[in-house]
Amino acid sequence: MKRLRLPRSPKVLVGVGIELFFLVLTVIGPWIAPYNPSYNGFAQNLAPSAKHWLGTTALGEDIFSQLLNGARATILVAVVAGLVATLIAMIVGISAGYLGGKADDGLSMLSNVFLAIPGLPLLIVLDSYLPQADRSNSLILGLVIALTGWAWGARVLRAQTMSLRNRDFVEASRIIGESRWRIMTVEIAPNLLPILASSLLFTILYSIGAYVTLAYIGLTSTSVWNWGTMMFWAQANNAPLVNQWYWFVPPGVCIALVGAGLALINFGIDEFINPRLREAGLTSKVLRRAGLSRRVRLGVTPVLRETSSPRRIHRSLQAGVQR
Amino acid sequence: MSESPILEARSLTRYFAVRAGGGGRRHKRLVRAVEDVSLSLRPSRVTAVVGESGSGKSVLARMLARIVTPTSGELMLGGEAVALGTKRPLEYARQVQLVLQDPFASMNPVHLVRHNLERALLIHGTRRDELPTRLEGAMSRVALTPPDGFLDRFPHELSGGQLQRVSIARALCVEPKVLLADEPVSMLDVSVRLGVLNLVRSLAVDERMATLYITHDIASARYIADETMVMYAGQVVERSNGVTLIDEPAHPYTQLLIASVPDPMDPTSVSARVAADEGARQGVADVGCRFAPRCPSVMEICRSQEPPAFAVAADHESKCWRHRDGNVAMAVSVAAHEGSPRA
Amino acid sequence: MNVLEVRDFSIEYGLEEAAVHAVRHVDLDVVRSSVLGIAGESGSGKSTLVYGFTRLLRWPGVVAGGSAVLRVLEDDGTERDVDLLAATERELREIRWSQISIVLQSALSALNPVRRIAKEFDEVLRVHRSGLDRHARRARAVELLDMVGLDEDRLDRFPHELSGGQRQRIMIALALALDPQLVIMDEPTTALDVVTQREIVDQLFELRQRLGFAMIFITHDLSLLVELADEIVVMYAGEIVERASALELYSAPRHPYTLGLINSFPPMHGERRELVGLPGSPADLALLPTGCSFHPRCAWAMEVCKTASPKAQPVGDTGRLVACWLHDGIREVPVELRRSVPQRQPL
Repeated sequence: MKRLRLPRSPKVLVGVGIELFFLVLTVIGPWIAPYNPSYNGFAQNLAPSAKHWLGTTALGEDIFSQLLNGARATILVAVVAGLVATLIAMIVGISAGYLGGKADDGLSMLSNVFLAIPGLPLLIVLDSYLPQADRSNSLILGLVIALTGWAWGARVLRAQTMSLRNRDFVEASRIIGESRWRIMTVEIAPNLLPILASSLLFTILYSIGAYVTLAYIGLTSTSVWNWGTMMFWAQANNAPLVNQWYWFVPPGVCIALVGAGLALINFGIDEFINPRLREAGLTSKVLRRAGLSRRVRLGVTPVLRETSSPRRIHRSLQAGVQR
Repeated sequence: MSESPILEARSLTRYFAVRAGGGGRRHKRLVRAVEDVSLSLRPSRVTAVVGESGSGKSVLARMLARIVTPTSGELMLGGEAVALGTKRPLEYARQVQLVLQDPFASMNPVHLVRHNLERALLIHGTRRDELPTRLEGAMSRVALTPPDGFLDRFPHELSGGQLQRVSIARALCVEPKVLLADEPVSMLDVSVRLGVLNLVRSLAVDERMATLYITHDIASARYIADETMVMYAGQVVERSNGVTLIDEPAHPYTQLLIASVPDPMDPTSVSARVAADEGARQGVADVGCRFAPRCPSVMEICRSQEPPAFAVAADHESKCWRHRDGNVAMAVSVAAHEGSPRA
Repeated sequence: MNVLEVRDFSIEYGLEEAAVHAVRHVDLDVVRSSVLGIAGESGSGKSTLVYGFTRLLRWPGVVAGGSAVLRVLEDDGTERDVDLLAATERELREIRWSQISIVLQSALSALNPVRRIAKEFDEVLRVHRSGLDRHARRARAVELLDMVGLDEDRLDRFPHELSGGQRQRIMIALALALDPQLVIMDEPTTALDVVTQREIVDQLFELRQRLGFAMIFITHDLSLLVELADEIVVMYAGEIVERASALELYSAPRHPYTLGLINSFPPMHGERRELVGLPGSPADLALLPTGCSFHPRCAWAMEVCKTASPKAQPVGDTGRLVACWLHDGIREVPVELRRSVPQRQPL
């Protein structure tokens, strides 16, 4: 693979940081929770205190423990859904884009159908077909959500593949005699990595939304704790009306943070694809030293002021470099 | 003296149906990209095809490589007719290879150079343990040694000239008999072109490769060609053995081409203004001689009937009515023109 | 009488340690109404140089040193100096297009595809010649098209309806719209076929005779310059390696790179024989050799070439310059590099 020069801008680092934090939470959440989230023996509707950092619910459960436990299911489902959806999008999109003709017609029609059908109703319908037991299975739910979320990515990948298909190196592979399938998987797919990564992030984002929505309207099993279910219970007990912000705001904030983190990482991918967006190692410190303002306008090339210390001209000592 | 050809094309033609016309009315228009082109590629000989963009030379190359299917015509490989219209068999790819114009675009940017060459070898039956020797062999044939220094790099880390040699090495990996080179040096720096041109020539001379060299630069064609053809608007308008047609052009288009080439050795070329409508869009006629709208010595018959190829000399023919009666004299005198050419 | 004087001009991409020295200490003069050709390959800095002193270089390009002065000749005969590097954006806008215009390398795609040609002219004239009304602007546009050999009906077309050559003529017409004193052309014919190239070059020649502007013509095709330019400058790895009149340069080059470059063009006449151009590839600006940047490819490289970079020195008495240790006056100059300049044949 190409040696990746990962972007190091603050945006991306913040995004990565957020996601890492939540990933860790996914793993250790249930262990570090102070109480059993389903235990309802506490006093009800307590405000946040030292004993209950986020207070208690109307049924006497500890909210903070629910939050920590909820991370696992929410994020797990979202990631599974994202991965499966992206995989389907890859297969459908790249095949449609490269093969063209009838295969393209068929696959495009399939994607268009899935795009046109409203996601949420489809989800609800699919979900209602699931046996009760499976509604608590993160993987099954992830698959169901994936089925509604792959179409957009497939269209994007198809468009990209169609433009790549006409590139010289693909033609060169054909000339050598490479088989169609190897061209699609080995030659074309790696060139789609940035788009795939971006698609994956957005699909995960979508999946969180979908899962939380399902939970919020009560369609998932309430025996598995997730942030959506928390908000479901909060809403059912009129928490907003009695200003019990500590019940429904924290899960909402967590969802928003995860989404924001993904979006920030996506900026980084954009920078990676488009080198012009990269700062080329020019931090503001360096710019100030050279006497240049941060924003450089097109059409007015900056002229460096004379500095008192002569800059060392850095030359490689490769005398006689023969190319 | 010439051997039998390895790859022979007879009356290759390729039309493209294009939906043209705006303003609500869309009708199908036929673009005659290549029309009735015949050629023979023989071992140890470089055949040069000279033409501008739109002349059909690239489509011709792709038809010879069988990645574009001709609308009509025949191909003979090794004396046997090739079944066109079916999927191109691997065996054909083994015998006929094509090198493209842009070296950086011809290599997959996310893979090492090594990968690009290995695929060529593996597809055509090389065993994994044979790979290193075969790779080294291919690289040394294009003078890229030591091979690992180039193989273990990404394409963008090499220079244009080196990468084009790698492209040629990739084509050579499969041990073809025919090498088709579509403008192999056009995108390279000037100081690097000669090296690659010399390589192409040496492949023909030393390795008996039947070579097709496509270019818009007639001077480079003169440098390496054993046989030259000039294409205009999909047709071969002039062909000759060696480079006779460059030194003594017969067809008006060839004469125009040669007069247009900047030649510092001959400063009179500055004042050689040939009256011609630039007309790249409007200038190709559908009826009669394709070049008629731009031809400085056009006659009545040219507008209505397409000329056949007339023999101008031994091994030299030109598709122009001016040569009908065996008239070998220069068909057009280059007229000094007052003012600038109208377009 | 120079219309442009550039001294010790340097351009860098990026800053400090990471900086790539794209143009290094270039001196350049453009004589009024003459044609200066700048020849070089990739990495030579020929385009960068010009975008640099017109302040059109994109970020992270910066002007790292030197001066560039445009000598504007006013209508009353007086001269006004414009310091291009110290100019503010307003001052630059004032002289851009009216005194200096530039036909970019990507000129063929510089025309807005959804606008008719007439609109492009109209805009240029409206911004810079506010005194003209709509009809006067149209009349001027027709006049300009006529100058480049195009009919009026081209004005009402869209760019995609015109051929490459016609679009290029329009770019030239636009560049001449305000009668500038200096016109810069960056590889104007590279994307065109050779017949169209011939027509464009002839057109430029004729226009210059007629209107008297100075022209800088940048190209990699040295043979084109020999016909068109009065003086030619050859650049390599950001530096000027030779400067001479067109005839001198082509018939009697002094720098090994110039010789190698000339030998890289297969001739159209004469006996066919194997040519040897230059070994290697043009220098990588990020990995410049020490001393003379050309020495790894030079057939006559000496010890001094590896350590010290030669400065451009006058050679002979015709004002030509060469940056090469072979011509330092002490050493023996190889016979290939001391040909005498032939008498130009009268036409």
